[in-house]
Amino acid sequence: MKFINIVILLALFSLPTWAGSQANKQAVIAPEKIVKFAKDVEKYAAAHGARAFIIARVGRPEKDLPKGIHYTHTAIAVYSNIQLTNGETAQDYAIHNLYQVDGQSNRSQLVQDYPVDFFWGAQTLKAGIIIPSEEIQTRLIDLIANGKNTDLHNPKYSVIANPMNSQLQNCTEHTLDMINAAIYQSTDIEKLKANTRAHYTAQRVRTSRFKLMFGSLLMDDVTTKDHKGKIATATFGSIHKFLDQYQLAQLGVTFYADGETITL
Amino acid sequence: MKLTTIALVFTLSISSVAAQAEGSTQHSGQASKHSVLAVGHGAVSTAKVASTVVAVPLVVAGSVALSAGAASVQTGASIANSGSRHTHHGPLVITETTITADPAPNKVIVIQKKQTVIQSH
Repeated sequence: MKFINIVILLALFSLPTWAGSQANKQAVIAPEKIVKFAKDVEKYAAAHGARAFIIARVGRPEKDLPKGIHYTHTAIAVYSNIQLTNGETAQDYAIHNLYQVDGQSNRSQLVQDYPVDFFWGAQTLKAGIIIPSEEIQTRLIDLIANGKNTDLHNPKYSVIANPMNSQLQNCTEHTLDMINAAIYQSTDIEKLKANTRAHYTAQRVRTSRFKLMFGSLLMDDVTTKDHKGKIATATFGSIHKFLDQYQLAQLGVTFYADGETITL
Repeated sequence: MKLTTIALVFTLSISSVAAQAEGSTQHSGQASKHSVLAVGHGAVSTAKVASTVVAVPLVVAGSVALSAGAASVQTGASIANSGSRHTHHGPLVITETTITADPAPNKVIVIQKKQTVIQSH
């Protein structure tokens, strides 16, 4: 009996609670602070002339994140003409996300929302911002405006999806696929994955095999079945390194609630 | 008895941990958010909030901003081509309104009911 207790306790404390692409979580930060922060992020990006940029949030307590992973959700924000229900038209950023399906965590859907929605469930008022080169921005806008980003969506979701193949996908891998589609001007997923394997380095997930084993046993959105050997997944940080390496990023920063920015 | 208790605790605990990992459900979170934004608590009430009908990516060419669809129709060329011919380097104009996505229809009804109750007090 004691052995069973120990196993149960280990399992409970070992589940990976740090990742996921959830839409519309409950706010843990005061709403007025989220509203201000979201608008500050928009203004920062607009001041830098960003027509399309990569945006990331921290949706888990930072202490729970594995080493090398600083954000839990990544998407693409596009400067848009937005028709409001009150009849007015405004210019602002619309965010193009891949989110887990409500109640079906191993499935995803593409959802467009706005910065205040994006940061609503944030655990820390900290945003990752990468502004790609002008050419990549234009191609990302083209991709999204023509709905070609939907060709890149794989609804089979895993928190630690392997970006080197197209078996499973999470929000950051979808973002990476969109970036590669913009670079290679193609939505041929096999071509994009071949280039990903050739030019992109995924982030090692430095968490115990034990955690991953129990996670994959007990949670629908955690699986290692698309990996061979060491577990590595797409992250905001590794996307920045990739774009920076090939001179395709104009700017990469961490943006904080007090307006301070730290260069990535 | 002990085994049953352990099994029960195990199941409940896994459920709660898994729920934490997966986050809250999409629409319960949305309803809460929209309640707060719509009713306006504290400093939120000072921010103008609006829901949207549709958002169309903009192609910014110099000081002229065209919606992606309009640009495609007018030029007959791809947006990528039109964008590359008119590289934009300056700051962009952003609305001061906080824009939010609309909740699911059943949640809109719930929010509207809450607002009615609050207003009647």
